Amino acid sequence: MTSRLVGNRMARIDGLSKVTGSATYVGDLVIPGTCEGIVVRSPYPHAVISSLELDRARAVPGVLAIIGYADLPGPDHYYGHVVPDHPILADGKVRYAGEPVVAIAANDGVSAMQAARQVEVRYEELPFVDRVEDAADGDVLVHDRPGNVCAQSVTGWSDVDAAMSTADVVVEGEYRYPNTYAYAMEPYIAVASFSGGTLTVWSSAQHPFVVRTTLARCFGLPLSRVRVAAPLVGGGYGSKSFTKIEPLAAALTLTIGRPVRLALSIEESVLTTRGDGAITRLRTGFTADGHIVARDATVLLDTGAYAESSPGVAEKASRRLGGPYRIPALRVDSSAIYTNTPPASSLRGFGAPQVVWASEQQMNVAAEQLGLDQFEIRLRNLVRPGEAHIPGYRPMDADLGGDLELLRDGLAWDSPCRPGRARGIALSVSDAGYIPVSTAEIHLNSDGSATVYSGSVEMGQGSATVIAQVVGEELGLTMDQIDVLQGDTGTVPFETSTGASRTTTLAGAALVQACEDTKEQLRVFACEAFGLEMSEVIGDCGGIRAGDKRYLWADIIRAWFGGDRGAVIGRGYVRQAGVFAQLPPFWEVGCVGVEVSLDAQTGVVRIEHLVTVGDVGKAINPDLVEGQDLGAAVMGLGMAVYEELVFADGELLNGNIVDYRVPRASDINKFTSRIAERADGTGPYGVKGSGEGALNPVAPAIASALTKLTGRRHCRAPLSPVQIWRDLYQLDG
Amino acid sequence: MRTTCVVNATGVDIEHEAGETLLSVLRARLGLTGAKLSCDMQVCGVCTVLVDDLPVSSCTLLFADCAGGRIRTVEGLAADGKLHPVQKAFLSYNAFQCGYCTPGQIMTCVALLEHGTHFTYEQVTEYLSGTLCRCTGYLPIRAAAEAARSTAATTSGEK
Amino acid sequence: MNGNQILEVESIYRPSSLPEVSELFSQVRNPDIEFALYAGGTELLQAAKLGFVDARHLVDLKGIDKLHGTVLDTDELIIGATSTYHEVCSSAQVRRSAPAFGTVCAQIANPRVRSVGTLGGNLCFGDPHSDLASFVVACGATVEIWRGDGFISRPLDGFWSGPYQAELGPGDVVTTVHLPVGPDVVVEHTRHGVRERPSVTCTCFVRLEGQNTCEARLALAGATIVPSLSVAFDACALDSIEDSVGIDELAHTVATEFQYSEDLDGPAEFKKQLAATTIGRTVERSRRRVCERQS
Repeated sequence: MTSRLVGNRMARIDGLSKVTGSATYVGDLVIPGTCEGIVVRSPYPHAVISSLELDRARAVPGVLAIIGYADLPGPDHYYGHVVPDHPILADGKVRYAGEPVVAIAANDGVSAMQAARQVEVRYEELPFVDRVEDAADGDVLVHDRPGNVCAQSVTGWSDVDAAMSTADVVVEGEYRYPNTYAYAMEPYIAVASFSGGTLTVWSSAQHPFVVRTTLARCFGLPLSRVRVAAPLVGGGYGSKSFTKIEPLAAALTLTIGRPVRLALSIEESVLTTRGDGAITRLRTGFTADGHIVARDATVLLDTGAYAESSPGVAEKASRRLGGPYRIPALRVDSSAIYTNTPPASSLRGFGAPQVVWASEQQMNVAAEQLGLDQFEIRLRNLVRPGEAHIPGYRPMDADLGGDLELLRDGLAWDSPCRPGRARGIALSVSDAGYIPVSTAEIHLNSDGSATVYSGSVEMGQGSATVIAQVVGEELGLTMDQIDVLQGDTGTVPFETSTGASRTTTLAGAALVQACEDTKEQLRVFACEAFGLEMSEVIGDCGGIRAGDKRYLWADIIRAWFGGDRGAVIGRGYVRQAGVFAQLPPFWEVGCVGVEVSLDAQTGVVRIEHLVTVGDVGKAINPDLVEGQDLGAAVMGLGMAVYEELVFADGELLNGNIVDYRVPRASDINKFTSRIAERADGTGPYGVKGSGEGALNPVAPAIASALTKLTGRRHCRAPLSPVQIWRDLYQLDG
Repeated sequence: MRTTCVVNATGVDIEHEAGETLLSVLRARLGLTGAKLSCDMQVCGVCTVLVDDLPVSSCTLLFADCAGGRIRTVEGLAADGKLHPVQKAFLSYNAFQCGYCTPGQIMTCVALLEHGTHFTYEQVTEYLSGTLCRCTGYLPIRAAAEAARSTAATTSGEK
Repeated sequence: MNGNQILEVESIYRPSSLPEVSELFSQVRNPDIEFALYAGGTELLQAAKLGFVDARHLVDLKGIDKLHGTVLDTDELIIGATSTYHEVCSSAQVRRSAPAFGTVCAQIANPRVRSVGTLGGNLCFGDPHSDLASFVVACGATVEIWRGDGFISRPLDGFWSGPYQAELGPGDVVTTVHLPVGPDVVVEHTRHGVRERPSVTCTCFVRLEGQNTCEARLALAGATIVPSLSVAFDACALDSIEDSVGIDELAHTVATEFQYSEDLDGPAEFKKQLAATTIGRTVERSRRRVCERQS
């Protein structure tokens, strides 16, 4: 069957609402009777709360509730999907400057702010630790964990020391990757209400079903009595994964019995979640002909005050550091380390950018030392399709050599660079997709149109459009016959999460199943309604055929139910079985090249050309794949060159857009996107995910290109003007 | 206090608090939620609307200062059921993803094009650099702006 | 601000003349009332949101005619303090008499801030990373200030005693900016930085008399604690440059004169290098233009 929708550049189904301003985000919802929530935060990075004086604040007119930890409703006041160490409000102790201590609900925002100023908290300051290397061997403990180790993950095999001793060349270095902020344009926001025994929270959340589980446990409710709805999300990039401010909003609404809106500022959002910074100490040994003999790494991730996703980040970092190479001996010891800084959690790339920054630079340094081309050294070490580079994990489902060919061509690698410019490349593979549990539901209506229910969330990636394309393809419908409902646990079926580039592959697989289920039922109903034999029924676009007669879906539904009533409901279930039995669900490839220039006097780096290869198996919608790759790569560019959260004395110095520099329109001029379609993924049509891969290799590709211009190694990101100056003059600090 | 102005070609006369911003009035009192709050510091451009044909950060402009002004928001762009050329260009070039900054981006482009169509691609880029987007990587937005500029130039005979 | 969209403003006064402003300040003796003057609000309202200033009692200066408009008075361009950046850079008068100043205003922040923000607000706020400071200082610009019941004139060199500290008393209103201009004036300005505000700005002002350089000044801002005028740079220094080595030497000499701030842009040592580069580039362009005029 030829594709009508899949593989084509269909217009986004959320387009019209987004260009006319009618697209609805949480902040646009009007829930009658909603009052305003506000949070009072700790000014100290580490302190014991010796007293909370709330009476004066309670007396402010318009105030409805002021709560501290002791006032929290529900049986469990801690959350955290890996380590439940995160109190909804500080529990006698604050562990970072900016931690929520008191929550207030008031009739209006001004009253809430006035009350916030009347809250009196007395603190006894404690020694604090705001640098990950100090935390790892210092005396100050953020939690009662030796060495402040929140979680440790070790990946490896064979005798690394013995293997390393056989190397002809050993590249060694310490690489620093900054603490970063996802900077979604929509800050965190949640509106909570409690009515008829059901807690409803509208939240800008990537994982509404995870949030539902957290809220059910914290407040002692069955899952069915908690509804978490994510309308359109105004940018996520991982920062809106798992649970964030929803328990705070819920606690307030459960206290006062009225809906509460908790809308954070950007400054507060930065204090809510950031990305893990990292120090990677890495040695890679090579033979004289460029084969890796061993890799040995220690990774310290700056987890901040609470675990959140960081144990997962540490684990993924340990599996993402090696690269898609045959490595005879590997040891990666990756630890998530608590510090007295805002908690780090998921952020696009999830452990990969932090460590690929080190490992891919070393590939290029070795290439230089051994007189090999940056492509050649990789080709000599790549795993082949179908070969496992980590024992026990899914064999490589990509032709990485083919991807490198596309990159080489896109970058015009073999043509000389203009003077003052240089090129660099980097490659990564990530165990993507997270846990393969997804469900889907399709209601085929009596007019032949379809309402699709998916637990995934539309946060800009275009999942609604892709879902419509897949369903339209399978059921033979046009795009305008399909509506996609997403992200509301009260109406859509279960989905683990929207992250790890999973939706097209895993939600897609569930949807294709749901389409099959729908069609199977319709064949049975057609036989019953029209007196056909199953053996004579054959599928047709938008219906079936039997002999020379054609029956459209609408004909069958109307005939079977009668009149214009009824709908056929199809379901799809994906679990860790069948094609998804082995983890990861797929490998996500990051394949990036850059051409850069440098103003050595001012330290300003410019990216003259950015090339990505999207190895997605099959592009359901090439526009969306290109959009994900460009967006991810430009975010990677920001983190490579500009972005860093700076802490001094336990305080965040640049938690705002004036001082935290994200990429702008003038930062990127030329972009080339190549898409590799080899139908080698586990998803429908051989698809694999995209969305994170193109971020991961950007920073090491830029650093490697710069090294050609400066003759120096650039081991500390971001490559800001002042960092370039330090690198050029070899200054510490 | 009371302020009279024109919003999307309709006269409004509103009793409001002195400290209400234009954005607050548009969203909370007039139900025009296209413009969004983001940085709240006049840097990101997500809250961009036009006052007397000039782009402003509605997050930091007092509504009281809009007295007598002609305010235009993304909701007022489409006319007679037809999208504005900039809106069409944003659709054609997929110049949005999450969509949160899109009303601000579109109003920024509209402001630019209403000042003429003689700009170079670099000038367009410079102008757009004041409005942030974290999803698209900007090139689609620049392409949409350039396409809308070029269409307008052809129509108006400039170039 | 917690995403909350209402500022704590109790009253907005709208005087239509300068004596009315003085009257406001003299009549209200209540020490609890602090008036905050504003025009565009891009500086003041932002500072109020961040809790740096009290904006409960605002005095809107936009209704005072004297503070608007641009006129050329022989060798001085007089620009009303409530002129927005947009008005300045789109003014035909500015384009004719002080095109470089128009360009500076066209580069400030973003189009939205340029629509609303005013010259007076910028100068009074005294942001150390202001776009305008080095320009007005190098040019020898002055401001006229309404104080009590009359006007005084102040040079902008020395107008700021520190970051965010303009030398203004309560009730003082900056009314006009006076910018020296003329066909014999060459101004070159460099804005450098990768973040929102410039990391360093450098302006070089040269006045020619026939073939001779009769006046030359260079000012630096952004990287320094306050906008500063170079002592070493003058007409003689500019004339004595022979080649690019000479420019480098002069730039380094000039760069050592200043006291640099330490902030997110980097340490003082880095700022000094950035300053030397920026000074060198500005001087080079100035010298080229001066040579063009002289040949």
